[in-house]
Amino acid sequence: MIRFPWGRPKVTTVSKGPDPLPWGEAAPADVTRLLRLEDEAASAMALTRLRLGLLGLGLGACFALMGARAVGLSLKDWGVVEETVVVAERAAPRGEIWDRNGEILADNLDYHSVYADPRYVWNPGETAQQLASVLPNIDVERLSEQLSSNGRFVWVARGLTPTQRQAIHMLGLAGIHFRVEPGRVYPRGHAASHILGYTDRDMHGIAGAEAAFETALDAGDGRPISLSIDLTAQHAVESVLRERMARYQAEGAAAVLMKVGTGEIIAMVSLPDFDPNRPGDSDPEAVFNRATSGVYEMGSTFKVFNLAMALESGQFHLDDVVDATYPLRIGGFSISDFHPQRRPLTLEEVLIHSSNIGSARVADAIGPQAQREFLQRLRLLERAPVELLESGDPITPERWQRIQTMTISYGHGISVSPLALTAAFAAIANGGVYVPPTLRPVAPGETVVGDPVLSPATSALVLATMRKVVTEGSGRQADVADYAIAGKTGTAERVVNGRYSRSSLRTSFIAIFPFDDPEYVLLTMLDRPKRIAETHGFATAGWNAAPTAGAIIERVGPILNPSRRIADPEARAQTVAAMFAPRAQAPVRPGPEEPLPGDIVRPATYEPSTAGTRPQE
Amino acid sequence: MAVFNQSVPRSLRSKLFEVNWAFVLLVLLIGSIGVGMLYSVAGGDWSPWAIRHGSRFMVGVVMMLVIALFPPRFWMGIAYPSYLGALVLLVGVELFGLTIMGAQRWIDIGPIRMQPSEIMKVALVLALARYYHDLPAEKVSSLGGLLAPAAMITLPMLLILKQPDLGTALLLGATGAAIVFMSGLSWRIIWGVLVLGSIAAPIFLKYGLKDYQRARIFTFLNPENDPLGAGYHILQSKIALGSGGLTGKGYMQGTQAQLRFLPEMQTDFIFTMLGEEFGLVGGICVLALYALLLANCLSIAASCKSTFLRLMVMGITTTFALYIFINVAMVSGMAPVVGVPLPMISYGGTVMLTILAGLGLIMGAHIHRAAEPPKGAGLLG
Repeated sequence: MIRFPWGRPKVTTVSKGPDPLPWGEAAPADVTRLLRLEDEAASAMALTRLRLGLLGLGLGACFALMGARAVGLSLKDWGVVEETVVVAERAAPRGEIWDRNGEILADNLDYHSVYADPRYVWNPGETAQQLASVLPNIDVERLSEQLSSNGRFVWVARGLTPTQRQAIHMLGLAGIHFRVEPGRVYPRGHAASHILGYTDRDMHGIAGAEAAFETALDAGDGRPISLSIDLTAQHAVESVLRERMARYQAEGAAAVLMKVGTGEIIAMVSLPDFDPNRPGDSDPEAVFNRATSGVYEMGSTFKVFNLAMALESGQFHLDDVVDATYPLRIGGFSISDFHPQRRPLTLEEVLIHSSNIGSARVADAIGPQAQREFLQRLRLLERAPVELLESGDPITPERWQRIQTMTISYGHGISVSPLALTAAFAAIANGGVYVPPTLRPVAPGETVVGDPVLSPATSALVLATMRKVVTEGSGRQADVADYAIAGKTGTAERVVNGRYSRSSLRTSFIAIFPFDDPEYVLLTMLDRPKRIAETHGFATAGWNAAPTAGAIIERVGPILNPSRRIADPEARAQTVAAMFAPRAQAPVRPGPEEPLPGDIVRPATYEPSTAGTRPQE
Repeated sequence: MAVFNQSVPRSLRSKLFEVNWAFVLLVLLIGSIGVGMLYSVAGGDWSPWAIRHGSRFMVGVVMMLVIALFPPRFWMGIAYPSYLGALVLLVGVELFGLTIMGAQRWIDIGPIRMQPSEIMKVALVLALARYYHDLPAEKVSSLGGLLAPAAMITLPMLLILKQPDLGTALLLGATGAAIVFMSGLSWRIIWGVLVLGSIAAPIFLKYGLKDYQRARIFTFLNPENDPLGAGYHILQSKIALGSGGLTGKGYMQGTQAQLRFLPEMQTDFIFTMLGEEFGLVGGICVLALYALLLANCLSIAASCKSTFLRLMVMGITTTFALYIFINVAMVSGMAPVVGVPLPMISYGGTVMLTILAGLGLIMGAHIHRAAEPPKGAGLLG
């Protein structure tokens, strides 16, 4: 029997012939014809059977597949219904931001929007009417016109409440759809605004921690991240700073509170601040983070580094004396003191009385190379290594020669960010080990790796001297009982129209407490504080930045609870001093220049306009 | 050949005696499930769907039985005219058609609003069966014998594609192909078409589809990537199907469906709801009912003596099976969302009437399985 191809004309079946007939001879014509008909019918039947079987097989396979799929789907664990609703309604949320104690600083909120797909809208007029019954504010005529268009997408309303959304849903209108748009919310308003930053409309961080930790926040697991800041301390620092800024009529202010040893930023404030919920509505000046983005000449606080460098170099002892009798003249410029002592000073006294002359002489003795390397180790010649993208690059002199070395010794001719300065002081407070500043909390017991930049002995000596600045020197107004604060004031003249201005100041105060076992470093900075009656017409750091620091410590002290003690700087300093091998006291180093009283004259090589103290963006 | 030596019943009484009551029972069972599910979709309410579905279904079953009583000669006679009529209606849709849900599929004839593509589904089967009935077996694989059915299939397909209704067009194409296959087409041509098709398909995907149709096809592959967009239906549907577990959440307890996470629950996605409320067991039971009905249809096809009846039954069976398969595949995420209802369970007037009419034709073929209508009786013969 011929099985295939079925389409072949059956004439060939005759020529090929059926199997030989049993009697072995040609069959009569009518028999052949009968056989042929039988053959055709049989083959048609076989064809039908086979193809029908194939069709049945195909359908059977389809049903087997459907059954298997149903089994597969029911075996798959879809979780509880609440979870499936979440999966369906929104994509993985952006992680929340918490403070170190789990207080929520940034959260997500769903905004419901309703839109229409005009292709599926039955009756535009009626649909618009019905929508207006829930949303009275919509323009019915305009909407019905839009719904009649050939477009595919028409916003009906955004920012609906869940109740409104449900009401519209219950209208059961065809072609009306909802969209859940997650939005970022900062429930604390202005608090920590510069630290938190903000996101764009697509929920991607573009400033602050939102940008710095974008990868972790946008990981899709919705896991929150914790910051090192303590919301309570942050708020305390912020409110005190705001009050003091107003009191001293300053134009701006910044404060950084950092934990010694871990580099954790406990609080960081830049004023004026902004509402991260509406960053667009804020003055760009307010969004600017003075504590990290701004780089400024920090003034006399740098004298502490100068002292540390001198002691660390081995060339100087704390009791060594330098001549500060007369202003220092060099290359046509003169360096004088703000509070001239007009006598030889020990290095300790140089810091206590904040002598520019003494600092410059010491720096000159050590040389530009060593100074540069020392500041480099304190990471002051690079942007502060913090997670924030808003970390300003310092402005350092292009030519680092004798005169630059001298001015840098008292904090002019170099601009660094307040955060970088705070981190450098934290290294001095930390027994000489530099720890990068961080916004992430360090778990108790976690090992923080730091770089040794100076010896513990130098660290202790410098701290003891800084304590004396607070007890005897310009930092007296920062002294708060029981917290054993060590500190240093810094007053820098701001650059106005390309020149240093005596009336336009930037004052700062660095505080380390407790000084003999440091736990925290605090930097306060005030921009353009005014001479007011309360400060007896003074506007220098000792009269505003220092008392601000004191007020802040008084306020955050109970929150941070550092170890309290009665400060005994003398005993401490003597213990530490004894760590140095006794050696002959160096003779008084006489000044090479003629004494000539006068103002501080800035070196011409330092071009203020290029290193201006305006925010560098 | 004893199986063919049956006489064709002539009297109404003898015809009713020949009705395959198991077949009718299966149809009634499936239809009742549809009514029950529509009652649940409406949140336990007879309106708006269950009551209308039920009454339409009853009318449809009566219509099915009436259709079954007509002799095959009648269907052969109207095969070509009905095909031409459906074709004209399809063109009419193009010219005067109503646009519903973004697609032109309906046409108004007095008080009746109808979908010509539904009529075409039956008409094409009849016309092709008639064509092959008249065509001598040896001409099936000849060029002339191929061109006519090819034209008969592609013409309505193109018109329906233009509406646009990809699902129905594909259904029509597949049904036509099945009939051609059953007619005894040479394997060489079958393989050739398959090879050509696998080459042409990607080109068609790229240039021949509307954006949304292509989007449907490509997003169904991984709906989880786009849970709020085009993948929403499929994902929700899969969740609903899967969340039913083995025995389901119970009648009217399906949250995914009851909370309206699914659009068009009463039509294309009703199987989802069934899976959620009655679980795997319920879903498999419904599939088993369909499988039994289809097996019944195939056995009817095997018992038909004439080519016309056999091909007609196979064509309708294929359409019916494709409805089920495409729908279930669609809601379970195996096929793109193309808008094919689940026969007799999904809400929808014309589709159900078409299907019951088709089942009536099959039943008729069963009753008249021994009939041997003459070949080549002319266009209207």
